[in-house]
Amino acid sequence: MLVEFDLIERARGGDDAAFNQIVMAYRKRVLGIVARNIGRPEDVEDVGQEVFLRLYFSLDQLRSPEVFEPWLYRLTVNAAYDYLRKQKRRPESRMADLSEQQLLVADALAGKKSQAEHQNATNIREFTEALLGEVSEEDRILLTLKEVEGLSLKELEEIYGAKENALKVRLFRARQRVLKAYEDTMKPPADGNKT
Amino acid sequence: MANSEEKLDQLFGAYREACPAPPISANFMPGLWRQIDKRRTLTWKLKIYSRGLVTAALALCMTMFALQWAPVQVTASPVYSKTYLEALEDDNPVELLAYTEGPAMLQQQ
Repeated sequence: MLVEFDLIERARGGDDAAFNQIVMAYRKRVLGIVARNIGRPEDVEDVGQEVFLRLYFSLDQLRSPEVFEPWLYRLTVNAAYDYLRKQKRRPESRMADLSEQQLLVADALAGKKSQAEHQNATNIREFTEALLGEVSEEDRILLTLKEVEGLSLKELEEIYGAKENALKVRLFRARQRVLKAYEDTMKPPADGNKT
Repeated sequence: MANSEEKLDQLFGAYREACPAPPISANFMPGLWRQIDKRRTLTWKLKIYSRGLVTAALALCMTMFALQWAPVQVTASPVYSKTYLEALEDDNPVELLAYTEGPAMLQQQ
């Protein structure tokens, strides 16, 4: 927890200063999750504000301060999902649109990742977002929370209010689809110049 | 396959580093509070309107209830100001009536 339970209790009681402190403590984390989920940097702040707006008006529904973080993550996930649904489109870059250079970066990543990471951050981002674009918005968010944010299954269980097994199955399927897309990209192109 | 799995894990890790939380603009907090105030005002107005509506509906209900259970008062109407007997009496004043014995009348007939 980034804040004390007492602060959450005060915010629940209508203390705006306490709420302000909570926003200050969590905004970086929330914006990070939003950024990695919606794939449009220009809209990250708007979605982040929507998350905290929802938090402000739903704090009285929070059962106890102990479940504050899963609650906030759930609001973040919902806001990101609503945004993606409103956009009605996947990230602009798709597998077919990836340039030769991006594929080379992805390939280099496996071997010499430390060099490639810093030099080609944009390419990595676009490549990963294209891979994540192969699954539904819901699965993309779930997979990002697990694989990128590093949340445990227990935490995901609390966020989604779903059984661990159901989440495991869903995560497995989503990951398999992304993996297949990844392998398809890594396959050497078929030689069409045979004589 | 296992190799691909590993590479994918590495890619996700690299993605996290390539996608750090964006810098937060100075307008973030003021913008958030503007939105909160806006929605607060809207909620407050809605609350006031709904309270007014509920009060008006309650007052109407109480009026209807009072009207239904209030004792019915017969207003003095000129048509029904007299009882039937009084009306008969007025039409046939006692002074004009000749007293006759019942059996005598029968005898005469």
